Amino acid sequence: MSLQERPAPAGTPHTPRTLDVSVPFADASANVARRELIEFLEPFDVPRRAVEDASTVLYELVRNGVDHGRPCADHDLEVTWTVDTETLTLRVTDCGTADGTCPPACRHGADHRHGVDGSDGTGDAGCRLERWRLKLLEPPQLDSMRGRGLHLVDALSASWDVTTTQRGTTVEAVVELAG
Amino acid sequence: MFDTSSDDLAFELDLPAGTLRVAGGLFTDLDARRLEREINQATTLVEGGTLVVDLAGVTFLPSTALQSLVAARRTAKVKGVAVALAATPGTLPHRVLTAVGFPLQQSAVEPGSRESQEPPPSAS
Repeated sequence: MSLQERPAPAGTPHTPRTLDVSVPFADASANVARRELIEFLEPFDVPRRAVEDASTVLYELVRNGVDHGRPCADHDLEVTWTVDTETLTLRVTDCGTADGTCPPACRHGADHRHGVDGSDGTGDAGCRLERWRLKLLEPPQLDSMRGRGLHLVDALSASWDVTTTQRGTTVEAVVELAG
Repeated sequence: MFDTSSDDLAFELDLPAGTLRVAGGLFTDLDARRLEREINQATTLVEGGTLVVDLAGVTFLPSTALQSLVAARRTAKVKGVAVALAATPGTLPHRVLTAVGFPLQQSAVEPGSRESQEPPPSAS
């Protein structure tokens, strides 16, 4: 059955409902945001699978913001979600910006010339660290300790995107509520 | 028998089966460290070369917990013990582990049994 043919969850609102919160710029905020989201969704009768996926995605977005971003003036980051009849949109915004370590050659078309991670073999760690802003995820290695959070976001959401401006970085993910 | 009616983290080591069953949510870094510690301990007790970590009862499995699985697997390898992961298709652990390419085997917990009846996601 296609997404369009699936019935929307019975309790989801016909007009979008949004919650906008600030949480401390700390790892522990991922779990706080996860709890808030689950409580927010409870009245809407959202299928279990969608709640699981959405709460996992939000957790990873907050952890990603803390790991790679910078706190805003009040040492926090902004967490927003909007639920409508068919989707839940999650956004996490920190005040970090691209640090300029990822040169154009790294950003565009380098993958097929320089291997899986698109690097030029010079060990430009800064470039690799910045590539997530371009949604260029390196394949997860079985024995590597890190680098799986955004893969989970990618797998458990219908779509996701990164917007970096001079004021900060927003990572947005959309989860389908049909479950 | 561990209680899967809540998100409380619980472990059950079945030595004859060579299986460590995990239930509950891995919400915090402390939970993830506990998972690693329990696996490390189980690998010292299990007979044979493989420990199966059955995650069928896990209700929340973020990337921090995956780090612990990797770390525990590395430690076990040094001891000559392989760590295999098991999950039930259709569940969150199965989706998460598949997404990051971890090899999986089918959980021995029968679908529909009490152990596989995860509680609804809770805010705990």
